[in-house]
Amino acid sequence: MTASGLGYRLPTGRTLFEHVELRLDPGDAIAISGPSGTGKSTLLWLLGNLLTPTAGRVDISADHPQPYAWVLQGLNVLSARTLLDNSALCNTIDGVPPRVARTRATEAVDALGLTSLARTRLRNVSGGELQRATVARALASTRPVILADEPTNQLDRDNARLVMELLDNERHHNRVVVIVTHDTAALPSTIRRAELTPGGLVE
Amino acid sequence: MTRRLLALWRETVANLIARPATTTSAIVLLSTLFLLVFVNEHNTSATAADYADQLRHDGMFVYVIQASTGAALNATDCVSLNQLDGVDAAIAMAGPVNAHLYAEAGPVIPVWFTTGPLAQFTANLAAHPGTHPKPTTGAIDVDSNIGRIGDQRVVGLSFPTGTTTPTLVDVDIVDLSPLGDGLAGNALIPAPRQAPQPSVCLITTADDSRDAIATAAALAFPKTDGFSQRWALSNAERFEDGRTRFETRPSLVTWLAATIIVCVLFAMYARLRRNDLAVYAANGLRPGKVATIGTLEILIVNFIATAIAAAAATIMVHTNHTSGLPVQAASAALARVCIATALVAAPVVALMRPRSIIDALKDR
Repeated sequence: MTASGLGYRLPTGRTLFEHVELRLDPGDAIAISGPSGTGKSTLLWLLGNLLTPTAGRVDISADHPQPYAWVLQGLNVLSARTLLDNSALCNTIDGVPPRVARTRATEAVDALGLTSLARTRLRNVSGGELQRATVARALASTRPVILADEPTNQLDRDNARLVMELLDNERHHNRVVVIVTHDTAALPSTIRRAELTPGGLVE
Repeated sequence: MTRRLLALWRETVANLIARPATTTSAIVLLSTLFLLVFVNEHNTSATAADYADQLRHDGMFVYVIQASTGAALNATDCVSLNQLDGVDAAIAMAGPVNAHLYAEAGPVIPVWFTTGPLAQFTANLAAHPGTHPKPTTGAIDVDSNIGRIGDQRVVGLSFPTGTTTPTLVDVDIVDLSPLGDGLAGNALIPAPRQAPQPSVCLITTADDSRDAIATAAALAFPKTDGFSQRWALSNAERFEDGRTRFETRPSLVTWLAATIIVCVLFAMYARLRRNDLAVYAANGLRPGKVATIGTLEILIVNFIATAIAAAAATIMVHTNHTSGLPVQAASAALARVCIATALVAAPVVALMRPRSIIDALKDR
């Protein structure tokens, strides 16, 4: 995945950032931090093609029809469905056989310590559990890029470390991991770090 | 391909089951609306049909040609009107002659001697059960109190000819009120050889042939030759006929109004599902398939509501023993609204699709 000359200007005319250059190869993981309002989430949306940049471009070469697995701050769930259903969603969309999708989802749920909530509807779980549910979905999928937006902001220290370690571990499966976070303390030392400034990414 | 479609189907069904209150409410709301369309159309059609029956009963379709004193009405000319398109039956009548019913001491009954297809004529007078054309020899008005409409009797008529044995006549008991109050309790029997000269020609017409028959009758029996013409129902031309009332009933557009209401409900439902559909989109489901999930959800709800409404309508029809035109009209309205609402599901979902996935995700 490469981003070259990437910039975004809000409809109000304010430029959030510009000249973002980024190259990520399979097995790379990067954590992007920065003050509130600098556009970290926006950068993630641009990288994941949920938003169109006002400058520059994002290129990705992947042989997967849908390369992105998202962790989106608890917004990105089917609240009436169970944790297991949500965790299997990417695989379901990718046409993975239901039994395989279920198995992968169960493994991810177990890894995040949510086994007892597997059949609970997400409208009935806490904010932290909801956040881990979105992580479980990303982990259960086989998509080559994981884009995580503040994956630990509602988690206690232990769970935050667990989530970061699990995401970092995905590097070993040749996946690209991009994490936007304030919680740099929970980051494993092996993850690249960068700060988003109005003038671009500073590593 | 099939596997992915199957996955979409499973997702759709799982979504519906996961939100039982919303799904059930939508089904109940739609099936109630569909049933209301059926009931409203049935009742309105029944009212229009009753109105048409009443007009028929009052003589809306009976044309009367009378010969004034001195004019000769030829029975053959009258009966030949049966050849005209739009004439259901034409008979010539002579009389009346007062006869005694049963015996010389029996009650007096006015008897008319008819020429032409009497059974067909009386069957056309009113849409009463039992008055089907039969090869019978006569008819007697129900006000004669010798039976109920549709009954068949053999009656004895004693004519003032001096014979003591009553003439036995087979009669259908019918309602002659469409011919006017003057025929209450009268009898119509086929004319014997020595019948008096006919003075009246009666024609029953098809619903949509009234004007044509009146014009033809005026030519065949002109006023200048001493004939007068009128409809048995006075001022019949001023009444809206039953068919027009049925065909212009306001309830004809009820299905359309219901479809518009359902469109609004679908739009509200799609708005309610906007966030979940955005979740699918954010997780890589193509827009067409996202729309397919939204549409399928609505179509399944619509299908179940249709099935419930159809079942309830069937039960109502059987319970109330209704049939005929009102049921047909109501069934057509129900079919229209169900098909139309199924057809609008996809366009409504497409219209309500989120323009921005991010905005839709935030819109909880």
